[in-house]
Amino acid sequence: MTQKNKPPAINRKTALKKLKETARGFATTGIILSIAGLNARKAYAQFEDLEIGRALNFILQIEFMQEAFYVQTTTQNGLLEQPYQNIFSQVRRQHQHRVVLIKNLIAALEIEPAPQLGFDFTGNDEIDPFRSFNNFLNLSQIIEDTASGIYKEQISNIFQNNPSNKLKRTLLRLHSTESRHAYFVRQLRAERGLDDIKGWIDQADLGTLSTAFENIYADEGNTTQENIDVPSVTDTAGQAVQEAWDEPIGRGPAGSILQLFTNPL
Amino acid sequence: MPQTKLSRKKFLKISGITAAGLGLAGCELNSISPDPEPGLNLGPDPRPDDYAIYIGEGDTAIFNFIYVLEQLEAAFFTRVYENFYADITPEEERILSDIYRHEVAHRDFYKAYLGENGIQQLQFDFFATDFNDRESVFRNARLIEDVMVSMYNNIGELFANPDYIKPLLKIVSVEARHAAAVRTLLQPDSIYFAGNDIISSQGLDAINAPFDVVNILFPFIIPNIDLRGLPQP
Repeated sequence: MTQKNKPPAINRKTALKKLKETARGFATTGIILSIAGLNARKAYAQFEDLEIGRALNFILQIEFMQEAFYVQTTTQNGLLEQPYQNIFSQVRRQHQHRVVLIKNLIAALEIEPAPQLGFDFTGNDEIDPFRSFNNFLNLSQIIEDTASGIYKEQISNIFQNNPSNKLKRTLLRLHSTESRHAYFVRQLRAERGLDDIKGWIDQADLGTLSTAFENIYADEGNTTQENIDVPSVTDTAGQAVQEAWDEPIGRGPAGSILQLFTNPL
Repeated sequence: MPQTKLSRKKFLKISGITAAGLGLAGCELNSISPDPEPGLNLGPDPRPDDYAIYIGEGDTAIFNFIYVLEQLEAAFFTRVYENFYADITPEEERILSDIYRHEVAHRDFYKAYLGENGIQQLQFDFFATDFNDRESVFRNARLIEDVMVSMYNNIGELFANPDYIKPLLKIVSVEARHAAAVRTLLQPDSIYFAGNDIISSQGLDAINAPFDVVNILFPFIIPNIDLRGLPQP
């Protein structure tokens, strides 16, 4: 468990006692010390905001990618049949709003939101989404499951840096929406016989998807949570335990997925 | 604090000395050190059974509150699983059986994680559900799963120790998949899994403060639970 290098919180009682002591004869020294303390705290808060901004900008990348993916595909005539044209247009609208929201969250920290890079989804024949609806679904699953994992990792990072409660709850609400999206597209692929998968992720298994994406599911076989070997404390079988927890995706593996579709500036 | 059905009798203040005397001093969660100022970490309620169940304070209270609700979910889906409604399709049976197993795993995980700090197994009365009726099962399942997601989305900010968000994220993610699953079975081939009734125009999932969750789901819990130690947003 990581402990933050942060000055310990001083409760009001202790602070008042210190103030009294200061008044008793260390007045000058006390004032100088408290000014120094104030500056250190301010500098630390700025450092924390930079860390939050870095994490938010990474989240922004996957939201940019999702927005670009759904804009490009839902506006191509004939690619998506009904009712899926309507359904994924709604998913697109949600992602478009999320991009604006996240940019605003970053700007509120007085940090510059990262610029949007160009995206090219046509590189890989198996998943080129413009070739068929099935290909579209393949890439949609990859993107949604990746986004859900990225949110987990980056939210954990952000929580270590003293974010506001408003920011915390906004991020949690963004995160669970991704998992809803991911469920739907996985279930749809299973129903259409594209893959032998479920809406939840049951093991470190890509199914029929290219091994280029194996990073996404690499940790999904995990059955140890918070140092508890879960199968040893429940009658539930191991596969269901794997399904019952979704794993985070770190910056490195997530970046390797993003890179496959990103044009350098 | 709202005067909901939280405790029947006046809460008996237990001093730190008593708690230490009962040998409950080492009441930290498995493998995670307690936060720097945990307040009183009393462990299980030492009072007689007819008192409201005490969930502790601070981060311990948050985990016990979650544990109450994961018990509720496990109990609900166990009822569904042990007595499937008539004419259930194989696909519905597969999905509801999976959800049942996941919720049991979540419940048992929290029990192990809380260790001595955990409350006992509760009894439930799902009087609003007709388990023989498909629509009734799905309407109630949707309510429970959506509310669980909304609960996690608010309670995560209340931890004193920021490390606790990590295990929560892994679980709320699967609860959101459950919510989408139940919604998709209610209205197949539609946006209902992330519909406008649950996802805001900005793409944000629902959120409910702990006491709003209490108002919705605690009527199904038989014993009274003393929530006064639970942090509030």
